[in-house]
Amino acid sequence: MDQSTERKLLERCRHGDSEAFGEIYDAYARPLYAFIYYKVHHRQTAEDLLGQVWLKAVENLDRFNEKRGRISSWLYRIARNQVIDHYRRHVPGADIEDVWGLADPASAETDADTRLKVDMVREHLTRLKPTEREIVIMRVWQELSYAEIAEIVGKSQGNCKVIYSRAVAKLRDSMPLAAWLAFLLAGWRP
Amino acid sequence: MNKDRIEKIIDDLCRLEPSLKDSRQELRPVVEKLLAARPEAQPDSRLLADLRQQVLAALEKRGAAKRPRPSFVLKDFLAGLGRPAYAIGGAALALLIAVPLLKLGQQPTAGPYLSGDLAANQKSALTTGQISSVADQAFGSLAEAGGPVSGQPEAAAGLGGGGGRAPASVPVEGAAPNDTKMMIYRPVTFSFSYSGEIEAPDSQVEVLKFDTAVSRPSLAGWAGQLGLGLIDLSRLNQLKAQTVSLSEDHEYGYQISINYDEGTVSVYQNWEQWPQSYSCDADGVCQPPSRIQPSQLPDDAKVIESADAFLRQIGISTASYGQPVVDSRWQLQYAASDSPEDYWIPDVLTVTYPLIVNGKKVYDPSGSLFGPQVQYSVRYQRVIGVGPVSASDFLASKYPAQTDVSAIEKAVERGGLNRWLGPTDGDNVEYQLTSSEEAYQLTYRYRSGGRPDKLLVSALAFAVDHDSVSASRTEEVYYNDFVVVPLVKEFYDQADQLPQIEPRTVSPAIESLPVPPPVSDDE
Repeated sequence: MDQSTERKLLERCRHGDSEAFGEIYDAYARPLYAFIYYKVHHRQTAEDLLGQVWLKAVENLDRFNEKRGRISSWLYRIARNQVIDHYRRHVPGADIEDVWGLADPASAETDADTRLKVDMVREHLTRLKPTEREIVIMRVWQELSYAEIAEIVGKSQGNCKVIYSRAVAKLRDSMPLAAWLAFLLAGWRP
Repeated sequence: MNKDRIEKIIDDLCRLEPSLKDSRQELRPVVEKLLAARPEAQPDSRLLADLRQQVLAALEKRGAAKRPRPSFVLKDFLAGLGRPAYAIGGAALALLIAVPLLKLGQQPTAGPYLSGDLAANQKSALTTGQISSVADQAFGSLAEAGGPVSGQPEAAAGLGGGGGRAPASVPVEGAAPNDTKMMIYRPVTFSFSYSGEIEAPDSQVEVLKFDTAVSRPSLAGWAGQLGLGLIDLSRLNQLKAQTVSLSEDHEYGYQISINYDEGTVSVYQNWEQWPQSYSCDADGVCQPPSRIQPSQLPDDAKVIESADAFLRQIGISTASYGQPVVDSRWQLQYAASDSPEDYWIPDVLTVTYPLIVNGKKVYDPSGSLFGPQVQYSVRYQRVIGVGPVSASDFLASKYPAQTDVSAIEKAVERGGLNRWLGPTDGDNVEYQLTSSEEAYQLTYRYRSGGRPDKLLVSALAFAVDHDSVSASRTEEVYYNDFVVVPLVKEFYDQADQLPQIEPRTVSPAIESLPVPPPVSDDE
């Protein structure tokens, strides 16, 4: 959904047309789910957090200022924070910035097939810094634009591109081809 | 998996990693295998749909609580009830819709929930009492009406209607205890006497037609939310609301019914949220509530005060109505009852706010004051309902008047313009009528198909002097406070054409019938 459409829907929503927000929901519910799932690797947890994200969005919709960014980026930021809060509650004492690393494949919480597939790239991704890892996942698996990534992580677009290219270079150097492809393709969506 | 898709994946990989350009052939089988093995991150569709409903419901609830509104009558009502009057997403709700809430006398302004056509349609119906003159006899023949002629109800036991009769039990004398004859009901007919002078009206009198222009609000933009996930209402065309039911889900909450076709609002108890007057034990055996005693009844002033306060609280204007009146007719029968200790004193008292149009009171076809009624519960000591509340403009047309004063007098004598049942060998009770005043009488004109027209017909209303009869039994109590006769000649012509029905008299053969033996408990 382009930014112009987002703004029109938001305007309608502010005039009481709830269905306009429904269209925003339809556009971003699945990508947000994927965003969360790639962090928690557990379907039930991802579903619960997805619900929390949207209800949080409703609660704070009045405060959203489209001049400061897209609503999609705002939603992703909420999702990111919800995942961090989730780990704060369930894994006390852990480095909550390293959300990716906290999704322990040995944990019973991780979906079995995800465990198998992520194993191929996990070792290599853990060598990246948390922000590098997050940007790479958003760019590669979720195909978010640099503008959206910048709004989510709170950095400039230029900075995000530099971080991404350095992260990709690190991965290419450390991964065998198959693992590198597995990583690149794990987030592919038709 | 088609080849184009694989190529697109490889192109993207090469953009990310330019060194892979020379390895495209090696990449293809790897890409196929890896795509088949990638983790699924797709949510359950049903979950997404359910979540969507919840999200939009939460948005709606939040928006309703925070949205600034102009001064709307139901807005004040909602605020007065203390919390939003509609529950979203719960089983208690019949239908949820954000309704345009408009104050009597104000033109609607486009609020957040008014679609364009709705704002345009909601015009004069919610303004109060504007009367527009139209051509003489513009409403056509009134003779089709169910109105003042046939509108008088047949008298039920103990109740008076215009000239109707009430059965009276008469024991047959001389019967032996084990040969008891049937209790035979003898009719009581009422007649009325007015000592004042009835003046002939002008050659033409006014008939008003309700011009309620409320139309059904469009559900444009809303339909997708209302189908409970069971039906996609957005696929239906020009969907509009006919009636809306809202409920308050807290103790002593109310249920609100809005009828867009009738242009009415009614408020009732939300029974689920009120304590039950019946008390039931663990085995489910329930005891009825105790009888109300006369000492428990508040005086009329207190009841009216409670009714006024309730209407103020929910923002219903009383500007269109006359002085409220507590219905005390039951007291007439109570006083005449030969066993007042067995008389069921009502636990709900009714306050009628009589509609005033053109400075005149409106009476219903039975001769009772017409207007919204507030129900006050003696048990709960609070108002349990009000309705129906409506507001309408009127169209006014002139119709030929009944100028024959003797015909009017005969109608008054009968208690209304109904069929004259003739003398009976029962009891005739004559009541005196005191003052008379110009009034309107509500009548309905029924058509084949479609909604009946609501009309107000120029009439005379005479107050019944209940003290003029010392009723010795309840059957002798005339249960109305007014006798109302229309002044439109067409109704008199119609009444003359109706067949006369001879009243059934008591037959000696019936008197001799034995009483059937009682049924024993063994049967």
